Amino acid sequence: MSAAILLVCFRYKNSGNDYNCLRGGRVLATDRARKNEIRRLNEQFVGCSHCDKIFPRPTLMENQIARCDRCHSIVLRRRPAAAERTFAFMLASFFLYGLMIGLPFLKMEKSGFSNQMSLVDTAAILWKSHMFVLSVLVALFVIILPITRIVALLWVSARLYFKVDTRPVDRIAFRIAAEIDRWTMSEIFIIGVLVSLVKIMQMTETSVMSGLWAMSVMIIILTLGALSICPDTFWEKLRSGDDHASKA
Amino acid sequence: MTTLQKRNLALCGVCKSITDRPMEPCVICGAPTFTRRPHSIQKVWAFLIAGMFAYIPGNLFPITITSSMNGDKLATVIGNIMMLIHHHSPVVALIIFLFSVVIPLSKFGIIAWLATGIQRGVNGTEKQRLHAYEMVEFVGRWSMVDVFVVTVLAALVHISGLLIIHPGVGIYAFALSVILTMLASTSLDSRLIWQEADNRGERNVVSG
Repeated sequence: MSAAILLVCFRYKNSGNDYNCLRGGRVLATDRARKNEIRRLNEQFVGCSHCDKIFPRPTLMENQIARCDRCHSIVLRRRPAAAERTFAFMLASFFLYGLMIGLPFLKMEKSGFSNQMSLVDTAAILWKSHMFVLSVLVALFVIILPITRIVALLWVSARLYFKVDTRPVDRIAFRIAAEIDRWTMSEIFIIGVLVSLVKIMQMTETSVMSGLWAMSVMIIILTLGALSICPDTFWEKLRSGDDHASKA
Repeated sequence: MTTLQKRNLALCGVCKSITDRPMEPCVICGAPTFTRRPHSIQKVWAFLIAGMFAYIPGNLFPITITSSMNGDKLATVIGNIMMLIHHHSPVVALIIFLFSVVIPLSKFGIIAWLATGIQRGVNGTEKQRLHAYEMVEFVGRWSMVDVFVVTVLAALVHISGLLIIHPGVGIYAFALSVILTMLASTSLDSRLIWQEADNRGERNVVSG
């Protein structure tokens, strides 16, 4: 676990040439000039990430979508009140995730014995029973990565919502959220729980516990949250935000 | 008709910022930027072939071992689906069949089709290939359902002497296969689908 964190830190430390927040240094004048160059370039143009075509940047109204005329995939989109909605949904999912992880979701009874478990229990029981691979899979894909994503998005959307000066940390947070997106599998786990519920019911007495309700609400909130995030607007704001450190 | 590559620019894969120094990390988010992801097709084939090979033991070996008073019962992926049909849960059986058999197999096919298409410059129009690519990207993770089913069963059903479910070797191979094919589809640079058309210069696809 700690090795993984170290690895991530190492990657982030080495990935940016002018990443001063991690070194605690001041933003150099050349870095600032370079950032302004990139900013100007991006104010004029936009590129299609799917087919590499370049366009003059269109100005969009809320709810409008700009599509590439070659591959028809979305180049730019502007969702309304993205920061506010993302902040709200991520705050809700933060607390719900706590419930989902801590509350037992299934209970099994057979011949006087009973077992119940929460998400954290799942990982812990598997680890104790020496099924390390499965334990790590659950811990990583269903506990650690989803929480990291929620916290990162909560952080970024809060910064944008309260209109605080953005810092490089915000960009790192949003980058982390974007990169681990595909590896968060909480909704898949919930489907897995439902399927295993059907299977266990054939063998034993099984009852659904409060954790499963938390999971069900969680699916809805996560989906709504995913639909409210607007990466284009967020990056635009993060790009144009003057780094706090550069004012000193 | 200009592409970023022709103007010597590149798009950051994470924050979609355009940069004029393609080989340097993105100034905005710090992610590595490339005009085209290096060795994209090689990586795709490597991950895909490894994933295909992992899928074979994933289906041949049991994924669950149920020990009860009647002795041990081994079940493979297909065996579990048959058992669900047998126990009158055809909908759940169908879901598992879709996630564990249909999606992985079609994913192998589609990724291989895309990779050969990029290498040879054939196989359907660019738009069709992009749709296939997006579908694979979206749907790939869902094959993990079976892994999580086994995980929940193994953790919950654990009453010594009475009823214990152990994960079988198959599930590890199966999980590995899913992760490897996910890596294969992420390594594929979708911009390569249009490379042929870019190189040819003009090719107008009418927008819808």
